[in-house]
Amino acid sequence: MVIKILRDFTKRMFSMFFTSKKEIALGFYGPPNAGKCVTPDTEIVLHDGRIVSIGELFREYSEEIDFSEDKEVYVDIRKDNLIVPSLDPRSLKIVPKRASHIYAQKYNGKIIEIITRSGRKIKATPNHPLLRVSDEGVKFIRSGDLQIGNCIGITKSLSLISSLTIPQITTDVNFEINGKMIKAKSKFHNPKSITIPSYVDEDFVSFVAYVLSESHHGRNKIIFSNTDPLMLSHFQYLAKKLFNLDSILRINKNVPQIEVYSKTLNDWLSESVNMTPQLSGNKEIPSLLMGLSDNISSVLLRRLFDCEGYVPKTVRERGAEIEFSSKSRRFVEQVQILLNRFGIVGKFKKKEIKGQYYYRLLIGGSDNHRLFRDKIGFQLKKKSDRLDNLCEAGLKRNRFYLPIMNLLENIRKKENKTQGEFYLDSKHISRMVRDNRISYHRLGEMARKSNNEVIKTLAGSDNVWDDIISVTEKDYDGFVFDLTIEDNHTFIVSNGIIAHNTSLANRICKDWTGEEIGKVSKVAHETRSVQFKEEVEIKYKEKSLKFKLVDTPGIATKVDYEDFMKQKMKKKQAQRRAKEATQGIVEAIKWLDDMDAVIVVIDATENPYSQVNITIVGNLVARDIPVLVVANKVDLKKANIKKVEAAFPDYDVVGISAKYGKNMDEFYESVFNLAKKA
Amino acid sequence: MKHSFKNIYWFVIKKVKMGRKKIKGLTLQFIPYREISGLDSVERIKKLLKIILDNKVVVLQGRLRVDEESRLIEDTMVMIDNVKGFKGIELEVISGDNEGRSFFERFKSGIAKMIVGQQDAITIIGPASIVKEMKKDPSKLEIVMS
Repeated sequence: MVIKILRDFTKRMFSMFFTSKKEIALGFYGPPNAGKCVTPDTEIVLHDGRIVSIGELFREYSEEIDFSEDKEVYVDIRKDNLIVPSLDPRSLKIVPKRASHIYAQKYNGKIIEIITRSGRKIKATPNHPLLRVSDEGVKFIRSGDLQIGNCIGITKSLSLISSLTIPQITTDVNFEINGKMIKAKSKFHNPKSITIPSYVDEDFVSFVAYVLSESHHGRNKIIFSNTDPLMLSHFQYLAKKLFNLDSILRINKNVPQIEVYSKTLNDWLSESVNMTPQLSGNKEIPSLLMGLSDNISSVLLRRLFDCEGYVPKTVRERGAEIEFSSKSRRFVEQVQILLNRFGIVGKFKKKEIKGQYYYRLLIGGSDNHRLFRDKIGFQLKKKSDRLDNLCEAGLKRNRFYLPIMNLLENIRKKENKTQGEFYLDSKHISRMVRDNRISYHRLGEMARKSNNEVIKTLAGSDNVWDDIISVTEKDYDGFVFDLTIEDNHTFIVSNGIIAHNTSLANRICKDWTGEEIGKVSKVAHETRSVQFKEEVEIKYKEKSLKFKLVDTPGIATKVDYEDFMKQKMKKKQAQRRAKEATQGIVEAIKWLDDMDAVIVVIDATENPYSQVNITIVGNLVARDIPVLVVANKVDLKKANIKKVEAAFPDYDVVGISAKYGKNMDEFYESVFNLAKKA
Repeated sequence: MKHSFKNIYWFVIKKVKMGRKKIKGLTLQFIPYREISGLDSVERIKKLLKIILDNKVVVLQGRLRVDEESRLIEDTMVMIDNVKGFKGIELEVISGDNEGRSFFERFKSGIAKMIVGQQDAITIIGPASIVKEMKKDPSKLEIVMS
């Protein structure tokens, strides 16, 4: 540790004195987030197990903000502590991170729809970056630049955390509470009293799994039908044990079924666990059950697969895959997220039966099957025997491949090893090199013997790489959304695709130049709304410039909550926003001392005086920090660059259009000039 | 920057009800440089904010140091959170520009700045509830009242 610090220090000292290119700190002052992103139906995984579409999420936080066309709206949600799982692009590990802003914009133009081999799909604007692995290593790439055959990241291991306690009924609006017993209130009937469990355990999870998979769940009855006598009696036992409810066994069309009648039970399930009777197409696992411990998750999956899973009789049967199918897409995606906990990755397929669509999750490959047997397994003897067959077959389907053979060959040459030594086995290597792909499995075996950092990171990652089978461009007119995540800047879409959020600073130095932001460093600052990236490099006309990029909220000398109220916000909310704004400004001021040069971004369509305070620009100049004023959105009719120039008479003003990349030459020229001054 | 907000709390508490007062007319308060030259940063800011909280516009001879200026904005932010009706400030500086001057003149003013502080400038600070915006042209300053 000490040696590392010393080494870093000497390196830094060396670079300070002996290299002519000094890394300068370049500050972006402007709205913290102004990227374009994904369509509103994109569903995002939250750390507490919920899966929410980003459009809904935005509505949840924006409440009554009314946003008109051509306007970008970003909402600061740091106070709400929205935690999402996020992939650290350096270590490729998934860690929980806080979302700082949510953003919406009216967008009219092309969107890119990407479908991967395993059936995962994402719709995003061409500027939206996705994680990709190639011979150049792991990088974010604009979705507009992706091609068929490229490999993008999807989740492999993901652990969510939700509470173990079931929310208790405290108000007696709908229920009469009598000690541990509750009873639904009813005008005309006298419903049965039931007991309720207070925490999530194996029994409760099993009951929910049965209800979700093989039951008719009505408003006042649950009818579980199955041919397996063991499962029937288990369900009967659970109803009695958990809720003290007696059930009836009936044979309906030769299928035995267990009927449980209780209005109270169904009312309680929908109020407390948020499990309302749904049509089969809208079924979903309650978010309460999405982030349980490994043991209980495994029970939940076992019950679900016992009921809805299918295992082929013989290995020869087409696919030889464990199949889980449902009419509800979300249900299937949730099962995949639960399987991610054990590192099992399947593929999605859609199937049409009699004009209705069914979603299938297919788990293929003996690696996955073995994992499934060890971690989850089946209770039904028939299915578990079949699974044993699959495990022994040594199937290699559904393996994920990485197109990084050139990268590996370079490493091998550097380490001076033969192919046999490096890949541990000289089989298939020429084919691997020719096809430029290596299986994730093989990389994992290599990592055990190798000391190479790249191989270790790639093999130990929480994600796998899935190749794209279709990229289509579509016209889109509507709103697009984005979520800003602190530090890591990635979030996870419900079907497992890892997406990058975009920000204004990113947009300027990444989206247009095609250059990536190399590292995302963690800031040991108590405030984290200031984003901070090191070693950003932009290249323009054979010149290159390295700098540290600091993305901060704008600085103002006045904050009036009534301005927020003009956006149709409620008074209390407006006051809260105003308070957040003032705190953001205090943070941004603290960073002033560390800047070498500053780019102030102004929306040319709005009054420049109300955006970035001129005082602060004067202050920067008085500190001898060079300033460049960028007027964005000059493509719009409303834009008035003269007004911006009038507001900042002493400084260089460059008018650009971020959307269309207009006037970028002049912008880069100015950035290089600015860097010279710094 | 080390910062404690303790020292501004005393008048925060005192002026909590400020927003309810009705403003009658406009008061400008001129402060010569010598009034603040003897004070340290904290006291200068305290003095200025006190006047601003009385809904007066300050016209100050000279200008604040850059760190004082940013400190003033920081304190203003804290005040916005704590003082009802206070919306922030407008601040602008006009100073004699160096550009038309000869080398010797610049050198002279540089030395003078070092010794006595920058006096050849005027700083105008007003509460945002009174001053709507300030438009700056290199040579002139326009103040728009609300």
